This record gives sequence, structure tokens and C-alpha cells, in this order.
Amino acid sequence: MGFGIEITKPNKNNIKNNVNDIQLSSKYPFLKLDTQSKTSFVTVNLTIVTEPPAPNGTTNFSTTTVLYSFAHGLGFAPKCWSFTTATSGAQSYFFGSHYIYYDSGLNNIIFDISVDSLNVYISCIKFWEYDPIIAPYPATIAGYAFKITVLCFVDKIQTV
Amino acid sequence: MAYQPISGLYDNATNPAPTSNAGIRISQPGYSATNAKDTNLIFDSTWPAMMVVKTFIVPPLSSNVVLTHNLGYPPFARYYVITAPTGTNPFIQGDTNTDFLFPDYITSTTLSLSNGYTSNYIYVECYNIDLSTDVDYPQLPYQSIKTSYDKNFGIKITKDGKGTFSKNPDDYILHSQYRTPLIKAVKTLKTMDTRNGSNTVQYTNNDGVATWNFGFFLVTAATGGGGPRSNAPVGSYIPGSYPLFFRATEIIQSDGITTWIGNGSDNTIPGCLVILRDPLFAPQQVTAVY
Repeated sequence: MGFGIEITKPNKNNIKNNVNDIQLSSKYPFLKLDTQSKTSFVTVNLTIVTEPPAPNGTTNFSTTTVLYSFAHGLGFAPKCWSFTTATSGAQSYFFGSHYIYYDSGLNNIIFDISVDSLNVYISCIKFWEYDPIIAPYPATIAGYAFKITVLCFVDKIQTV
Repeated sequence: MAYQPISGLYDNATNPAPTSNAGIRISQPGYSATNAKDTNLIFDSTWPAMMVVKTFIVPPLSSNVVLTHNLGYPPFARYYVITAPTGTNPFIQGDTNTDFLFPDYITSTTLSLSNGYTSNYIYVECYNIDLSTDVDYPQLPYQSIKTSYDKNFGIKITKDGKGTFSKNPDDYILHSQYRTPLIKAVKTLKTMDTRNGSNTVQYTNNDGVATWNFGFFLVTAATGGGGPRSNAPVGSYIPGSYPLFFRATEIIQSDGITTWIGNGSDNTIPGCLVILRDPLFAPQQVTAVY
């Protein structure tokens, strides 16, 4: 691309084409959040009152339960980041999908933040492995509260 | 350089980035671009923002893969797991079985992915953040309201082959209606407070709002042990065992305001903390009950 705009960092030039010397270049897109959209930068204060079901039984550990979702209105699957703070009852800070309850590897609940062309989904996976010798430990999160900040960029995830 | 109760340690010294009056500033209608405060600017090229400088699409694999980026610095990078590349099913952010959203290791020329995603594609992005360079950018005021956007003012730069009348935001490189998370700091051992007495990198955000904090370790010798990071070369950066997860028993800790990282296991020392902050507009608040 032989046209465009480029601004280097102070006291730098870009003769060597070093991207680390550039402050702005039309060659490289910024991650973009729409300042006028209600869904590009959302803070969800989520309280779990009803215990989510454990559809996974004792053999399947991948089924998710959607706890909250919202339409992003973009028409394509966007890049999406999330940062979760547990305001009570669970682990404290994490980025993206992660454990929200962890106990000895047998008794886990995982937060799963995902997105498609329509919605952003905040889900949990009850990663419960029944062990009749140790004891069944059905993990629970009823009573927990979470603050989930979601950045929903107006940039598509590249696909094949 | 405040004493922080979270760790009993001291923040790293600041290392301000060079500043310049050169660049582009676009103010809100009615304000002078010469002297408008940050909150009255639509765009300012001195705001250190995240650029995507390298991308990869990795097809389903049964083993580890090393990708060559050749950026000349170890970049902040992350990936997305694509569960249905041609459909509308969810694009999962991370691998919920292994917690990884970052490469297993990062060097100035390569990065490595593992786990053998046998059925999923992986989309990888590298950004203009150098994990090895200690720097602090200016504190920008937090904007508690959403300002209106006047489409008759601003700047638009499209991707190659796209038009400036496009209504698809993905067609733009830069658009003054859109903002990005800002880079606040990269802190390394270079500016560690010697009173800490050991290898500790600590950062406190003085904005009064939570930041997005990421910790990386620097490999000083063969890491040994097992797992995907056992092949990390000396001098490479690896995320913590739970790189994005802060709790009392982990080496990287944070209360959202102060974050610190100490020596890791397997022959690692603190590599850096990457501190990002929200864009300069207020989030939409939602209350939900399940």
C-alpha cells in the first residue's frame, strides 16, 4: 500500500519500517469501539439468584447455560473482550473465560464469554465430575454476584 | 510511588514516554484543537492506542505451532478460538479447558500456540505493545458521560479498497467515532523500586478506575517441567500459569487498582505488567439477575 497516513513517535522516523516506532499508521487498524453504541462498552452487574442447572450429568462437561446475553447489532461476529470482577462469593478478577468456582478439579464452574453474529453470551459450564468414592460435590454459585465489563469491538474476527 | 497495602511493596518508578506536539488533534465542534482538554477532543494521535500490526489464521492442528511475526519486539498478543468459522455459532473467546488466551511464549520474532485445536481455527492478533520496553503514558481524564458525535467533524481512514461512505465500521482503519482501549503503561524490572528487595514489578493506577492488567514472566533458563510452556526459549515472555486470573495464591495479584508480579516458578522472573484502560467514554450499565 503506497498511500495513507503515518505518524511516528517523538524522535523516531520510520525509515526502518519498525512498527514499534509508529504512533498511528493507516496500514494498521485500531481496535475500535463505537462511542455512540449502547452495546460496545457494557458493564453487566449480574446476580445469580437461581442455581444454574447442571446439564452435563456425570460424563459430559461441555454443555453451557446462558446466564445473560445481549444483542450487539453488528451483523457479524465481532472481537470481544471481557473482564470479570466477582463482587461477592467467588474468585476476584479474570479476563475472558475462566473458573469462577474451583475445588480440587472435581467441582468446577467456568464462566464462558462468547459471541456470534447476533449476541454476546455470558454462560457458565458446570464442570462437575461425579466421584462416588470421594463424594458428589455439586458446585453452586447461587448467591454470587459478578461485574462483567464487555468490550464489543466493531471489528470482525477474521475467518477462513 | 506509593506504598501499597496489597503487597506491602512499592510501585515501579514512572518512565514517561516522550511527548510531542506533532500529530493530529480533532476537537469537538466549538472547541479549539489547539487548547481543548482531552475530554473535548474527538481524536488525538498522542493517545497511545492499540493497533493490530500482525494477524494469523491457524487451521486445526494436532500439535504445537510456532508462528513467525518478525516484528522485532515481543508483542502483546492474544488469540480467539473460532468454533464455527463458516457459520453463526459462537466464537469462543478462550479455551475453557485450559484458560489460555495468550500464546504459550512470545519472542521478538515468534510466538507459540499449543493444545492441538483439532477442530477449531485460531485467530491470532499482535499489537503495538512491546513487552520488553518500560514506559508510562500520560494519565488521561476519565469521561463519565457519552458525548455526542457530529458526523460532519472528525477523521475517517478506510481499509484498502473501501469507501469513506461505508456504514460498515469494520471497513475503517481509523474513525473518530470509534475509540479503543488505551495503553497506560508497560512496567518491567528496569524501574523496580529497590526497596522491594526482590524481583517485583508493581503498578498502581491513579485514575481511580479499574484497569485491565496482564502479567508476563521472562524466561531466564530452560523452564523444565511439563506443559505447553516447557519449550519456551530463554528470553521469551510467558503468561503466568493463570495469566489473566488474580487471586491470593497466584504470583500475579491485583485488586483492580494495584497489580504486582513476583518471581515465577520454572526459572522465570517478572517480565512485565501490561496496563490497559478503558476507552474515553462511559460504559452502558446493565443490571441482570439469573
